[in-house]
Amino acid sequence: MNDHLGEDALAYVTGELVAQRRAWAEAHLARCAECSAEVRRLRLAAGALAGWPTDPDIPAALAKRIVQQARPRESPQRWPARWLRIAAIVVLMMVSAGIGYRLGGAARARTPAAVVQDSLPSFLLLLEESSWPPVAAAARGRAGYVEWASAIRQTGQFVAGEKLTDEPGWRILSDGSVARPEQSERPPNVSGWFLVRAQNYDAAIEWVRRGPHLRYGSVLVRQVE
Amino acid sequence: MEAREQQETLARALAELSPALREVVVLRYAAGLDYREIAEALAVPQGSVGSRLHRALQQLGSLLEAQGLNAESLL
Repeated sequence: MNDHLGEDALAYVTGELVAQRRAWAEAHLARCAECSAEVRRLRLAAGALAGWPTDPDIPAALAKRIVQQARPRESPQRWPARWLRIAAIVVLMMVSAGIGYRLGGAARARTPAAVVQDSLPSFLLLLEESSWPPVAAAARGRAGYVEWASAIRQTGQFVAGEKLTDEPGWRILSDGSVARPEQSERPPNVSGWFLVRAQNYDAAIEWVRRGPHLRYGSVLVRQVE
Repeated sequence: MEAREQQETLARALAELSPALREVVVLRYAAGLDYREIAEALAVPQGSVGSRLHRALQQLGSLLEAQGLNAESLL
């Protein structure tokens, strides 16, 4: 038996410890300053996170729904894999850009235009490649993409976007196994993503047409719920 | 400390976590996924979700404490 709470400390804080272990933990906490300090810190972190407001900039409901949809349902053929791919991208988006965006947003006052654009629906633009491995960023010129992003940003309709690395990543299949996406897939793979605001699909498609990506592949446009 | 200030302190502390730890925090607390769903989304065993979350909250707690936050100051 461990001398200290160890990893049970978090379960204790979130009330998920079984009664017997909980009684032991309480007795232990009464005489262990080290574990008490640990529980105090975990409680502080959990409390702060519990008050984390739902922010439209972090499409939490979207991520949850996508992960749910990623589970195999009636037809376990192509869609679950695609949804998992999108779910992975959403995770990446929230972690790398979402929080960064929140931080940026908190630090600077929003322009009135940005406030207006917040009420528009969001669209996920998945940049698919027509061949894989993709044409190197150096060869296609990153500037075109940067200009595209800044043109969208100027209207207050750019939420986030990022290039993915040139390795193909992994696909988690509905049976839980992990596979490399195959080079022969159509469309082959994605090289980046944008999250933009737009009035409707037509307007989102117009954003796609104004960017450079169609020279290198296709773009899947999906509205965020 | 005002609620807004608290949120900024939290965001700053989150930004200091490693991506792997931040990821589980976002999925657990912003997306509201349970351990099993997080394990599924990240393709890692449920056990490592638990230990990552534990480490993430330990670090967050220390960072928040260092910023002068305590349990009573939370709304």
